[in-house]
Amino acid sequence: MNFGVLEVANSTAAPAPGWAYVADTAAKGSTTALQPRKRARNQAASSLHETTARQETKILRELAVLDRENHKDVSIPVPVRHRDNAGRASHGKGTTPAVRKILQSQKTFSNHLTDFQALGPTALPAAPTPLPPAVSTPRAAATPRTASTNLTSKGTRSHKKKVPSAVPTPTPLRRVSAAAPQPIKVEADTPMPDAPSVTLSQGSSNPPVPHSEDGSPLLESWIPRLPSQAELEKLLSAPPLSYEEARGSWTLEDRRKPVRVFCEVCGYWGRVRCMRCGGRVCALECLNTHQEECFTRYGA
Amino acid sequence: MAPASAHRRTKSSGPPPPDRTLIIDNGAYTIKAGFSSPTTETPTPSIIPNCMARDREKKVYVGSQLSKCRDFGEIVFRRPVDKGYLVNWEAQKEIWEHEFFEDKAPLHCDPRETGLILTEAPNALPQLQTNCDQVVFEEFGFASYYRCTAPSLNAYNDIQAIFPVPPRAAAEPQPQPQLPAEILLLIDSGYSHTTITPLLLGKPLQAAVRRLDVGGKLMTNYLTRLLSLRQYDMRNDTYLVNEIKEATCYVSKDFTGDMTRTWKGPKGDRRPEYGTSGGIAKDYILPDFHNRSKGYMRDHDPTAAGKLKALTAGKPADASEDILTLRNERFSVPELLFNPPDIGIRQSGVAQIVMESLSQVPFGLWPGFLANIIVVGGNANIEGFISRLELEIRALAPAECIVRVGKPADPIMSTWQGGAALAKDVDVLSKLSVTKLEYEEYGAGWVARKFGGR
Repeated sequence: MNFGVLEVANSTAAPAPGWAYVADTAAKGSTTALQPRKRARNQAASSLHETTARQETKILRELAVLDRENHKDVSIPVPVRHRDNAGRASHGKGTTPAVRKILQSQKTFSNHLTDFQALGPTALPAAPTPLPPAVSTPRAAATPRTASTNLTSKGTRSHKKKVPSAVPTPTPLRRVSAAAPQPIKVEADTPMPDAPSVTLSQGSSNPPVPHSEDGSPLLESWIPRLPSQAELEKLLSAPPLSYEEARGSWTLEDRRKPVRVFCEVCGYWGRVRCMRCGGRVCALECLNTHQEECFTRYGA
Repeated sequence: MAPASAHRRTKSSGPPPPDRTLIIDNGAYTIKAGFSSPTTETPTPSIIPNCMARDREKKVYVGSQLSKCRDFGEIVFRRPVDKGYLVNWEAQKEIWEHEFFEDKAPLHCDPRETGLILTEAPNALPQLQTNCDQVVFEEFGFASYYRCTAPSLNAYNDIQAIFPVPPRAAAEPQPQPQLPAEILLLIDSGYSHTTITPLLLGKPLQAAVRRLDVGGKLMTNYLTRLLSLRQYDMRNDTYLVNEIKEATCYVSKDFTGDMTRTWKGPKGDRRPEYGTSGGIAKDYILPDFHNRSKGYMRDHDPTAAGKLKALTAGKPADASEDILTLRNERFSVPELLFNPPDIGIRQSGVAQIVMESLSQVPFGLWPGFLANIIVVGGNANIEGFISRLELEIRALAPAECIVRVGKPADPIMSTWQGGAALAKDVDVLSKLSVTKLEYEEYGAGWVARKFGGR
């Protein structure tokens, strides 16, 4: 989470020729600290959804709290199973270096996510294998194999296909079963790329008994046509979206709706704003309860 | 292509497929795990808490040991699955070893003779997927392995049996269920998030997969906050709050109406209906972990406070019970699924996201998807969720389309059941999965591409 870094511009500065007085609604740390109270009036957001940077930070902080596993930070170490001769705790094998690295990694999901974003969506996972030709990208993975099979196959077309951008095509002459059966590409996900894997049935129920009024325009129903075979294939072969892309959006329609605010004390509609802190309460009674604890923190 | 696929079949039948398959639906909150094979009649999963927990006596519980815990006060958790994705393999390995590989493990198996079906959340990060493949093969050494998104396994259940049979077709013999289901819109609402996946013949339409970042954890924490602000400080008792949530929360059909019913009214003008709030107000009796290890819910009794005082006058303090009275907390917490902006999440509600997902799909498939919406995951058990969702989607969908939303008999196990059904079909499974031999031959990158369908 990047608290406070997200800056939401909400100044409604009108482009004026020359100069103009512009309402300074942005919460500046230095000035707000000097204003002792009645700060709520400064917080009036100009539209429904525009929030000040401070409100934004508050929301983000609260959401981060809601996302926590435990109220406090805890670390529960894995119980020690057995100790080796030197008395060190050992947690099982961790047979290969790659696996040992994975098991020792203490990265959280957000670490991995920032890694992924930093490397860019095009970067495919580095697949460190213990084998000497460390496979880094699918292309690179494909190249040594084609090269080696080309060398073993007889003669003519041996070195031409080494270009990394060349798509490895199965050559019917090669005895594939011996070594590498061209494991790349589509056959993995669509075992039978021609028709049967994606054909949708047109419904198994019997058609209803025909009726004389069936042709009547009032009774006619319109059913959209099923997409074509090619379209379906294209849909099914689309690569997965990234984590960020798959996040559901906030539709324009929903943005136009007024945000519902709730009483901070009892949970009813928040119809009254506390003049000191800008928090919402429902009525006088809750406001009194709220103000018992409401204090304007220095600079907050 | 026919010879190629035939060739492929013969090749993959080189080593015989393992006799039985371990299906692990590795959720963030619970693991659903168990064995299935063509000979198993009715495979049933065990539900294992996917966590390491430590109670206030500093005793650590791993996975299913948690059922031995008697005192859940101030218990803290460490979960290997973060945001729905398997991140911490150190903890996960510990839990798996405890459940599957140790000699005394409840679901003991030898990975070298067992196939594995492992689920993941959609849109996982490639690095995490690679990690997963490596650990499965290099650390545990499963004979064969199929990693798939959890929603897709649901297509192997008999979807049509979930919906009520239309009256006209009831007389006719029902056709044999076709597996995988042809067309299905799956909503998986779990601990970490809610995902929407349209599935055609068991394959996800990747471009249309959407996620709403509201799940059980967020709702539990939100309820914790509300209760801590209004009644007792529950921030260290998330486990307990989760039980309160499961026992009392419901999705309101009429949010504004329920809100008014639960309002106490202005000062000096108490609403007469506030007492029971039209049946919404409920008492939750908290466990004290001495005489009562589990709390329970009962109708709110407005006169209880006075009675209790009279009853316990001059008696030892432990005769009393600790009561939480829940009013609008009951429905404003699950309301987050439908209105995430209520707490500042900048996302639309689940119904809108269903429509957003459908907007990526050709119009011709809309009737099929809208008529076959299934909700799985723990949140599907919240009372009123299904009917409200159906209501909201119907309001957004084209008027001509039939909208049906259903949930399986057990929405938590549904994904696992689908996996078990898939494991019964050895041919299909062996085509989908990767053997250890293949992994060693072609490496992790190839396996990642095979499962990713790239």
